[in-house]
Formats: sequence, C-alpha cells, structure tokens
Amino acid sequence: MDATAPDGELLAAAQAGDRDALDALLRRHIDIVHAVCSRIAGNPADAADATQEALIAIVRGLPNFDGRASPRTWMYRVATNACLDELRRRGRRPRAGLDEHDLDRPDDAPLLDTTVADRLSIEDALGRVPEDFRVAVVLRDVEGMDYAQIAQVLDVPLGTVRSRIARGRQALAEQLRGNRQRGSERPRERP
Amino acid sequence: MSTPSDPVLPPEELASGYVDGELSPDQRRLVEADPSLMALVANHTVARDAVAAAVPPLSAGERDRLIATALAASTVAPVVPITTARSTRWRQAAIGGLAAAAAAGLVALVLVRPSSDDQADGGASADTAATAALEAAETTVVTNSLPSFTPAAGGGAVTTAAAEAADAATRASDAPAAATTSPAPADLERSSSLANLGLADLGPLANRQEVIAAVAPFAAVTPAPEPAPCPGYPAPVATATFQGAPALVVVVAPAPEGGRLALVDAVTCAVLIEVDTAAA
Repeated sequence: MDATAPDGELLAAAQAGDRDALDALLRRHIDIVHAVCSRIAGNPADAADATQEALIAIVRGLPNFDGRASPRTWMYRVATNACLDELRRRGRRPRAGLDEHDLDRPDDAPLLDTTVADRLSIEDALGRVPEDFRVAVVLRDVEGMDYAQIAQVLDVPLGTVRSRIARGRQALAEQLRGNRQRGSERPRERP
Repeated sequence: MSTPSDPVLPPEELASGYVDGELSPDQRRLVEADPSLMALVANHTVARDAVAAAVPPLSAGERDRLIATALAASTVAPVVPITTARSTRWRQAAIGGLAAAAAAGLVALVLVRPSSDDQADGGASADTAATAALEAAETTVVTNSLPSFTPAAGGGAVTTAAAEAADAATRASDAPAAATTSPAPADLERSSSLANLGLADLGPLANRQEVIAAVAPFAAVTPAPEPAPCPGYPAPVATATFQGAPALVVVVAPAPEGGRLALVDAVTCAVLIEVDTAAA
C-alpha cells in the first residue's frame, strides 16, 4: 500500500490487516490529533496520554468504520471522544467554567491585542471555557473542520455547533482579556 | 439585510460565523454595516488565531512511541478465542496444575484402596487411567517447552487432549475416593495459574489512580527477555486483578522518571488499561 494513498484507501487496507497502511494513516494524522488533544487537555503531559488513547481508539475502532462518514470525520470523532474520555478518567476536567450569564453580557470591553495571546495564556484561558464550547472551538480552529463536519463529529445539530463556537470564542476572548489585565497588574522591576 | 430564509442570529453568532465564512452574503453585509458587530468580529478573530496558533509538536521519538503502542494494540484488539490466546507458559502452568491434581488423586487412591476383589479391580482400572493421563500431561509439558507461542499450532490440540485425559483421570480417581477434589480447569487457568507465574501480585485495582500507584515501582524495570504470554507485549513483571479481571502487568516503555505500563487481560490479552507513571 502506497503511504501517500488517500485516507479511504489506507483505512480500507488497514481494516483488512495491512499494518503498513495503518502505520501510514496514524503518521498522517498524529500531529493534528495531538494538537486537538493538546488544546482540549491544556497541558503537554495530559495531551500526550490523551493522544495515545485517541490513536488506540482509532486502531481498535477500525472494524466499526462502515463508510457512512468520511474517514477523516470518523477518525476525529473517535479521537475527540477518546481524548475527552481519557481526560475525564484522569479527573482533569477544566477548572470551574464560566457561568452561562457571563457569556451573555454585552461586549463593551476594548479590543484584544494579539500580542497577549501567548501559549501559556491561551492554555489557561481555554481551560476555563466550558468543555462543550471548547471542543467545538478546537475542532474548528485547530482541525479546520467546517460547521457541518463538527456537527457530525459531535453528533449535534448545526445550530448547536454555531452557538457553541460563538459562545466558546466569546468566553475565550473574555478570558484572554482577563489574562492581559492580570498580566498588566504584575509589579514591574525597578530600573 | 438578511434574507427571510436566513436564521436570526444573536450578535456573537453573527461575529463568529463571519470569522468562519459561514454566513450568507446578506448576513455578511449586515455585520459589515454595524461597527459593534465588527468589534465583536475583531475579538473573535483574535480568539480564533490564539487557538489556531501552533501547538508545540511531538518529538520524533514521541511520535514513534505513540504510534508503536497504538499499532501494538491492534494485535490484541480483536476478540481472541480463549483457547488460542494463552501462552505456552500459561498452558504449562494450567497443565502443571492438572497433573498435580491427578497425582494427588493417585496418592489418595492408594491410601483408600478397598480390600475386596471387586473394588480392587475398579481401583486398578482408575489407577491405570490416572497414570496414563499423568504421563500424557507430562509429555505435553515437555512438548510445549518451545520458546514462542503459536496459537494455531498442533500443540494446542495436544494440550487439550492431555488436559481432558488428566481431567478424566481425576474423575476416575474421585470415583473410589470421594474425599479427593480438584479444581475445574477454568478455575485453575484464571486463578492458580497467575500464582504459578511466580510474579508479584499487586492485588485488586479498581481505577487508574490505583493502577498508577501500584505499578509505579515497576516503571524502570526492563522486562526479562523471555517468551511473552501476550503477543506484542514484553514478559509481564507482575500480576494484578483489574476491575475483577485477572491481569498481567507489562512495561511498555521503561523510564526511571515515569514509564508506561499496561495491564492486559490474562486470558484474552486485551489491554485493560494503560498508564503513564509520570502522572502519579
């Protein structure tokens, strides 16, 4: 099996027992699976374990793939659920999320500055976004799925996806702004 | 202005949809005409860019390790018939137990041998059967002392025949001497054989935290270079019972600062749980 073959062909070969095809399939997608799990997990150690569980879930789920979804959609559905399950098992749920009403208040705050969006603050901020919202945002912004694909992966209506992404981004924007303000309040060294 | 067919969306959904290119042309024009909505768009764009920023990549070694572990899981994921999933060592332990039971029955038979001729004939008959079965079982143990496990090999049939013969001998021995009892083969395989492996038993473990705490001392152990009971995994370093299932503890990736270990089902070789002791 050619390692550059399309996902569908690799997946079919892997289902038939071709380990080289399975290896190629995993190598092709491991980086994005890891990126998704990293953003959902919020720290490298949990991300590595979650990625491992996600890959194993894909391997074990091969016999269940029936072609109704695209191979990519199926893999990311399996990987996302495995990643979430792993984090739940480890008790690494996100910190207390925002209250729903926090997400509804009017946005009269100043615009965000991209320079504050460093990795540390993003992980911290994402960790405070409710899980349902966070996962939808991550699938959109890390994996690049469109709303319809995310609806398939999460098995929710399209309108729910739109709402979760919007509210997740809104919550994230609030958190990033909070991080920036906290950062600006830190005492500065004297010259 | 949005068309009648466009859903009426709240401001944040209009802003987010604008960022993602998920709005109709009319909805886009609506957003662009409203400065407050464009301000929201700017915030959502920053949030999107922050999430989309590159995640620190896995090292090449880490990628290889994760993939290798996942591929290893593929060899044990299918449901494997119990009769083909056991290791040579596993079989030896089970057959050894059966042979011991047959020998015990033989001893009991001698001790309680009846005095009448009729009873003596029956006892001799059982004696002969027990001896033959014991020899068969011992022969099987020698036959199976091969370095690797081949599920489809004829050894399995020999083992099964010997086990049945030994079991029949035990039953024959039991006939004249009801005081002699022997465990059922399945019980031997699932419990006694774990002890026969001669490994430390970590006892019952209920969840991931308990598993991590229990297996942490083995994190840096390099598995012995001997035939492994489960294909794709190294020789076990300990035994345990995970959520009621007899399990073998195997070191997937030894490391002093936190190795990766797995508990695999002692009968089916399916992975029950895999942990990273660095998480302890």
